[in-house]
Amino acid sequence: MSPSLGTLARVALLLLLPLVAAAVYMDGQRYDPAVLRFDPSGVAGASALLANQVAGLAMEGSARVYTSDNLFEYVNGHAEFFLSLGFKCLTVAGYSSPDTAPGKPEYTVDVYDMAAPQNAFGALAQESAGMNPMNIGAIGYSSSRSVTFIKDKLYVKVDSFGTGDRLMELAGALAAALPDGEESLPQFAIFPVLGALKSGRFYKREDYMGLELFREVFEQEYEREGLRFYAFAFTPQAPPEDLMRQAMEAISDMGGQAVDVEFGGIRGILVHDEYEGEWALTTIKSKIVGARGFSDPAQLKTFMEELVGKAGG
Amino acid sequence: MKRREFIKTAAVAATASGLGLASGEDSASASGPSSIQSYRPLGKTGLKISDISFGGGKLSSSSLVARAMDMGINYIDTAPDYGRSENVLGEHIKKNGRRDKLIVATKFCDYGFYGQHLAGDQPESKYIQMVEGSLERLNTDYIDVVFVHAMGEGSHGQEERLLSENMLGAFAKLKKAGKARFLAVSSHGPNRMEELLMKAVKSGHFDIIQPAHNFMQFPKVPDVIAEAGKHGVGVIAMKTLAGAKETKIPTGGEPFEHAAFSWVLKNPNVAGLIVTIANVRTLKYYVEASGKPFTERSQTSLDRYMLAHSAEYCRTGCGECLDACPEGVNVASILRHQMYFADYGQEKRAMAAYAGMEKKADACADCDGAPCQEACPYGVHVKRRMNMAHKDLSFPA
Repeated sequence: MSPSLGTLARVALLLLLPLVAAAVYMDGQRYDPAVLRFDPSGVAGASALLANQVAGLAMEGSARVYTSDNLFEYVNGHAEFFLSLGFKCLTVAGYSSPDTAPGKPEYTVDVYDMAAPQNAFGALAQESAGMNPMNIGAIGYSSSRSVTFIKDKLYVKVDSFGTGDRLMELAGALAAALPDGEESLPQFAIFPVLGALKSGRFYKREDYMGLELFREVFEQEYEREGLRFYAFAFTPQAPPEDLMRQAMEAISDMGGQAVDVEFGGIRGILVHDEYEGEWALTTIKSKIVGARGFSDPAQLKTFMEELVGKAGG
Repeated sequence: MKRREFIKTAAVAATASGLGLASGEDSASASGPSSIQSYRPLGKTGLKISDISFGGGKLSSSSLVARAMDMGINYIDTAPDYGRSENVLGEHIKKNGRRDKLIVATKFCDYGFYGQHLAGDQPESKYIQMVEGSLERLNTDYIDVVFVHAMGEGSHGQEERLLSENMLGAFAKLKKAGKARFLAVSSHGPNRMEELLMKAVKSGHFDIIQPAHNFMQFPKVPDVIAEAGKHGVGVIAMKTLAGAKETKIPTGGEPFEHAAFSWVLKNPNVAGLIVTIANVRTLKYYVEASGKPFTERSQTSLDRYMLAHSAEYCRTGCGECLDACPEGVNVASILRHQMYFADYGQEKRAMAAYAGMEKKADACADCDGAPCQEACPYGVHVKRRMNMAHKDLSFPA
């Protein structure tokens, strides 16, 4: 009895299996330059961001570079946070005094390349909770044993694991050494340029002017003809109109007086506050913008019109 | 600009938006500001401080200090390592003057990030240099109270730091020069808080002590406070909210914070307390507690809080568990870092401090007996808390 056609087909398929396995194996062994180069686009040169000697401290071993493929190895559980913000690569190095036993760095330095200044700022803004502002980089903060700041598209964290007595020096030297780039953060681009102090950019997470309503505020300090004042902006979680209403209640509650005015055709409020001076608020799209630090409401109104013109444009 | 002038000027600027005067005129006068009701002598200093005083650890607005002063607060606590706190207070002093109406307390420590307390082996000149830096940032010629801060935060060299000849010599020179008036010491543990403060009181060198003290605190602190009373040493309490945990629990009518404050202030040897004030709302809310007596309703409020949190709250400064761990894990310090992480919103600070510890709570995962838990006189779920602490505080490998 000769085998049926179906049986012959089954036997032929069985004979093919070793050939398929062999093909898969051979393909797996093929040279793939994208894998073996370990130099993903844009990452080349990342390790050179950190020098071997900084502020009298020596790098332990060499700098490590993490990409989006292996960031989780360093920040397990937190990688998605950075990836969602546009993370490109991370350079990590440990630093110690020359007389310290090797293998236990006194300081670690993490330099996150976030691809754009606003992404770096996003990381800083989220991670600086509970920290105190300090003058380093474009915007910087410090806390116990840590300094964190941004410079251009870089988000930098410096942590101390020893006495921390050279932390500030190390962070300052790093801030000076890291490359300059695009200066402006988009959050600050809405403010008028004339008289804006480069060293006067701040970010305040909470209790701006002592008001709980005012959170995650970007502030720009100005100096014009001897007058120092501030412009500020933030994006409230509630609709801006609701926040304006709540602000009116808060102003009233703390004994201030507010009047409705228009700034360049946009409704806003001028506030007289015995303690804070004259300040003003209005809404531009989804943002609240304002100014403070004036003693003359007319000057404040003039600046607010300028601010509305810039921010609204 | 006066209120009337503002309204007149602004009215000219106002448009016909239809809303006109929007707020302030009536409501401000209707509610009226709350104000401090009680001032108490601060030991033998001759000072009287507001029972509710200003903790400036999160000070970010100089106007907040002016508001606080107008509500009667006359004592403010700052430090060089509270970020820009001294600068902001200095801004207030420069702008508003009234320096003689404000008692300013700061610390012997370096400017910048938290934890720059001077060690006992520092030269006299370093202590003086630190105070000179504070004077400059504060825009003032003198500091009322200078603290040796956070005694017991470390476990070694504490006596040396407390009674450092160089520190005492520096303070004497500063006092003679009119740059500092009174010497103080503070502690929030976790190591030997009462012992170190008792030593400070008996040494005769200190005018003021500032212990962590609250209704959940272990019973030895009142002994130290009583001893301070005998020696004429002023007492200012801190950490009075027992970890500042979530307080949205039914409290039987009296706000938890007010009950916690009045518990501390019912001790006649306590001159006042400092509490972190970061915004106008908390300022008003805390000041409303001034002069309130401790009542049955207060006790009910605290009882309910304790019921909710007792087994979760590691008492600052207790340290009963410190010798219990065969692995040498500093349970008290780790749980304090956990408290900063979970309750104070200072995650990074807590994580960095934890990373610097030699023995970490990962050693607790495989511990069967949990002798620390047995050693805890308050029934805190130590092992569970330690596992949670390690998870929260660990830097990824």
